[in-house]
Amino acid sequence: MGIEVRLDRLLLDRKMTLTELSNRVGITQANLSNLKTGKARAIRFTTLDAICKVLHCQPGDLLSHTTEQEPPG
Amino acid sequence: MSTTNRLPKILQRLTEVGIGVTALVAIVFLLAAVFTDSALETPMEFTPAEDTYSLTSEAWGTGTIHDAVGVARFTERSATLVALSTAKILAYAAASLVLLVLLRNTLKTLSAGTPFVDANVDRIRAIGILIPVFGFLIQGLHWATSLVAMDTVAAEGLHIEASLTLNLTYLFIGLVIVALAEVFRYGSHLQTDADLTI
Repeated sequence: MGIEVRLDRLLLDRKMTLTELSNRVGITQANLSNLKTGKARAIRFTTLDAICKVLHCQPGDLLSHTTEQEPPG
Repeated sequence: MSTTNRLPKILQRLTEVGIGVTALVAIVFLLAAVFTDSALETPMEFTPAEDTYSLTSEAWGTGTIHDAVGVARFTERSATLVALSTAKILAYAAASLVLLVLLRNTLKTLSAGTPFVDANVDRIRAIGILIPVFGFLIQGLHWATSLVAMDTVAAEGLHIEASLTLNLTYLFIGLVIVALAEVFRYGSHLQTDADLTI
């Protein structure tokens, strides 16, 4: 998928665990884990807003777009 | 618990009772067919000899019975008749049990609030395919019985017929249910999207 979720890096920078983020944002650890591992298919703006408030970041810090490399030939 | 949530549970329990009752009745009928001296019955198609059975009605005028389907009862049990009766009991029981189990498992997920799963797509499609298959199988067994009866049974005033008329209602019901399975497939896709929307 072309959208990369940099939740791991942000948690490391903020010295926060996934459990703590889950408790503060009000989203289950399972769902946050899905988000972190790229299994999530969509994210609500309300969720994005809640995560950014807790992690003191911008959506662009959390999400980035990567272009998949075309195979040679 | 709301009324809408209670109905799937009630239906699930009813199918579970149905599974038990069907199994029990099938065992009783099988034992009776094979091990007892009880009379054996089999459906049969008859055509009355010409003008044997006439009808009169003030409103409808006169007529004759052209075709009839009845049940013949035999007190002397031939091996062929026992075999055909046993085959029909097994066919009815197998069809009922398989369909009831598929339905019960589908209703379980509905009771749990998760009906739109891939397993239900497969179950509902299986029900849609099995209804015409079992329906035609059982009609085929009735036809086979009538075919045997034509050669072995004499009935005064009646001709025994053996016509294989496939009831297409089973096919139409099956098609509707297979179409419903595709609706559930789309529902499963939407459910997955919803579940993975954080």
